[in-house]
Amino acid sequence: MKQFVNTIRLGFFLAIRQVTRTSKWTTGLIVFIMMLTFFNLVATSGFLVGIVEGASRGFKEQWTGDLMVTNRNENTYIEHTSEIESVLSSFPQIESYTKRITAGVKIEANWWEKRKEEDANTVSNQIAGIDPVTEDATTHLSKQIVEGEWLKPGDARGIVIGSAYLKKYSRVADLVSLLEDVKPGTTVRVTVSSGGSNFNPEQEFAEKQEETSSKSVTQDFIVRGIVDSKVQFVSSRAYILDSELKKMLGKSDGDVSEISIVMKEGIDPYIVKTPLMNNGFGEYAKINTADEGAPEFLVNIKLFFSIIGTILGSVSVVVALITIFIIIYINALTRRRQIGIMKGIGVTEFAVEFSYICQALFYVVVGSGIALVIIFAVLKPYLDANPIDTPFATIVLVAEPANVAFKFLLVVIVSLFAGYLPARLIVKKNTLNAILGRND
Amino acid sequence: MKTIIEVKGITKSFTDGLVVTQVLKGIDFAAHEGEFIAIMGRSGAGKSTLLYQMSLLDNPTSGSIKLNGHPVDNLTNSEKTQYRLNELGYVFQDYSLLPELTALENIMVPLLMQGVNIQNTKKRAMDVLVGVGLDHRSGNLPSELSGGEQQRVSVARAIIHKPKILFADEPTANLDSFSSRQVMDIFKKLNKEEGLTIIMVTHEEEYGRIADRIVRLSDGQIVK
Repeated sequence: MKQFVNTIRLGFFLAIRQVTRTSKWTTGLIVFIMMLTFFNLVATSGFLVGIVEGASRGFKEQWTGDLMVTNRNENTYIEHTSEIESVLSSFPQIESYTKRITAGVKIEANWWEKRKEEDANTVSNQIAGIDPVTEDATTHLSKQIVEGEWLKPGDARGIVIGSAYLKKYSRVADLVSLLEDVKPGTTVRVTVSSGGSNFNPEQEFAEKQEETSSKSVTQDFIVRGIVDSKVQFVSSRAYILDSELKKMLGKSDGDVSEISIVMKEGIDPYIVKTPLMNNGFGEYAKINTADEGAPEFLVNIKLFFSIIGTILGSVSVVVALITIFIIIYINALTRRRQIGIMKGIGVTEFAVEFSYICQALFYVVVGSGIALVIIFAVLKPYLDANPIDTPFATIVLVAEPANVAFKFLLVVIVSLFAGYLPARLIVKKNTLNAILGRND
Repeated sequence: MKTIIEVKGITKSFTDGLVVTQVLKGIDFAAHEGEFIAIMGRSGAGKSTLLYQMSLLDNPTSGSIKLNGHPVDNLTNSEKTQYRLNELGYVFQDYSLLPELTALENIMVPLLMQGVNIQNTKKRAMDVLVGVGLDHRSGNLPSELSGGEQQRVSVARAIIHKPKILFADEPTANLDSFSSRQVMDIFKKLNKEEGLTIIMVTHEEEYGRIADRIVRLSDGQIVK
């Protein structure tokens, strides 16, 4: 035991001096390489997952909330909505919630200029009847207004239109019929089918058109604003007051199609979901957390990116291993003679090897430490505040402390082996040959 | 006087492909405690090879060696390392100091390996540095010292742990005459005042004559 302690002590003594008294440029370069390696390990997978995370956050923040209650497939609306609402009201952990009635819709602009049916400036999709105050408190959609303004309470003639309805904003303008020359102040003609709509995100535009074919009610609205979001479901809707849509649908009860619920910071949505399910509301509605209710394509992309991230992460670990191995090997090889001298004067092989393990740990810990500071003190806060804007999602950097800590631990363990192995290769060589600079 | 080194019939051969070169051809040799022996001979005579066998840095092809009465032929590598640490000291021709360590730190290495605490290690290292007249250079790296100073640090490192035998391989070969005399004075002092057994390989007659006894080698055999 005493021998082991002496060995560790001397190994540490030698390592400190070798690191601090070697060329500062060399040490800096090695630390820089290790910093890049660890940064690559964390940031590459972090950005990949961040693409999906950005999209997921968009869905959660602008549509589903932490928990979403929707109608069952066989029903148009959520049955017993008022009872569900009274349960929700009993939870102080809920920050806010909003109710929506949805229906299929056809919106037409410039209908007075139309000479024949093919010239019609129309679009068919979905309309949501909302309370603009609770909707904005829950999903903050007013922040997504790119033209005009968000609906005001009591504005019975106002409508906010999703950017996906407008040719000006759409990226599929040539493929489907979209509205032209519509801006805040434009009057549009809204026709809803009184049968309601069971909203399915994967529905095609064409299917929606069929929904508006019978029992239709038409009313003119004035466009108050255009809402544009990366969340396609948000941009693919028009929004009017819930009271107006109920009138058009001839609906007198309080049942709605969707309830999006936002929990207070750090509160688990299962605190609400579990009692709702236990009280049997699962029979009248689908109750899903944001993750459970994520669209299938998002789940698949998340899985795909997770696999890609794991592969790239594994490659990064191997690169880290090889990098440290080469650095330590070259370092030990250039000191082969000194290693021989140390062995010659009675320094144990493991003391020499431990000094190289310490050096590898130093490079990894300092390099990774700098990378951690850059990631958590600079890059992540910056990207959280200024996400990378792409056409399909707002990308953030996902770097969960537990996950990063695991990667750090992984790199440290790798560095132990990558420091030991090359040192062992050199140290085990014949002592006298090492001292005399002869080949074994 | 007690025999501290006893070498019987050792040979050493090197093989390069099909060519076998026999460097030591059956050497019998003994050194007594407190003796200062100079091994001399022409280049290629086998002086350094003999030193390496006796100092456990190399294994003879055949023959046996006893150090301090104990056979050392069957020691494992780690046992030999331990033996070198506790019983032997080395001075190499080219000083062989660790370049990242200061003069004081170079001297501290054997004691740290032995487990002496850091304060005692520093104190003893400083005392030895004073003994070789280099206390004012304790914080200097080897690259900041002259050849003579480096060799004196090397001597200090070789004796700090109070070895029973000091092996020196051409210790003055790279030094000017002034520095060589300084090193030889230290050797004489260690031998006479502290009774340290010294086995020194040299090709310089002047320094060989300082020793109690000269062993001459020629073509792998002791001739005198």
